[in-house]
Amino acid sequence: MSNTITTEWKEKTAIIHVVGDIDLSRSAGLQAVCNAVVKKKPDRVIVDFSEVPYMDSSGVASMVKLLSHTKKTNTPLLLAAMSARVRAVLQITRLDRVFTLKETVEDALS
Amino acid sequence: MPFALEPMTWTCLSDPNLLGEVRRKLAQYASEAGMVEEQADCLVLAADEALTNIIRHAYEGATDQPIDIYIHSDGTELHLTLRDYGQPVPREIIHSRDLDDIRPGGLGVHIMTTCMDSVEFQHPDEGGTKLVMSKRIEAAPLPAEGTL
Repeated sequence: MSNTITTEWKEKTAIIHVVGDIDLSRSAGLQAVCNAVVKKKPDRVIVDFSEVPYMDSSGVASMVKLLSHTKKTNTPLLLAAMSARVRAVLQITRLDRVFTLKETVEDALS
Repeated sequence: MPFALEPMTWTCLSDPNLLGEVRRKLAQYASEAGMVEEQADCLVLAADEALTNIIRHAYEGATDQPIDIYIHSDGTELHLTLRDYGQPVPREIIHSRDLDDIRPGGLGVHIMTTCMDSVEFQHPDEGGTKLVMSKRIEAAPLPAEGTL
């Protein structure tokens, strides 16, 4: 699996597709992509975790920073398709109650 | 059932790009020790958080410093030790912070103490920090007779 972070636009919805583990080696890159997306003023931001096998607290921190940006502009942020392992990291840090989680990207889009 | 294994010890560099390889090695060892996947995931996460803290704080981001890793299953518990030779761990890093304060950062120690049964920071006379963690092995149940 090659590690990539790409952004897809469906009208004014930004979908950030992450492929690969999110740890200290990649969290800064993810943050940079998120910052670039926010600057474009989307109506909604979805982060697609369907190809993320692992995430640690540096990845969680990137999501918290993204959330703080989107809250300032009342832009909905949805985290989609997290595996049980990735969701467990949010649960351990009690941040699962702070984010809107969707089972699939399709659910997040509807 | 849990298995006692020979200890595995090696030194890796403080390069974040090497964290994935460390996680795989630890996951493999935990699996061979008989840990169920969910438990092994927790142990790997705790180790990863500790290594991230070492890279960020003990070595202040330097990617060429040594981290000694030791893991051993005695058949009952899995013992994991991480040894760095950098700056002492700041007090605010050692103690978990209030999780109701929603902000990035400072979650690593909370994750470590949640995932592991014991977490102990030691400060050897030679400098640096020795982090000793352990987790009881709850092995997967054996399949019922006649199901294989």
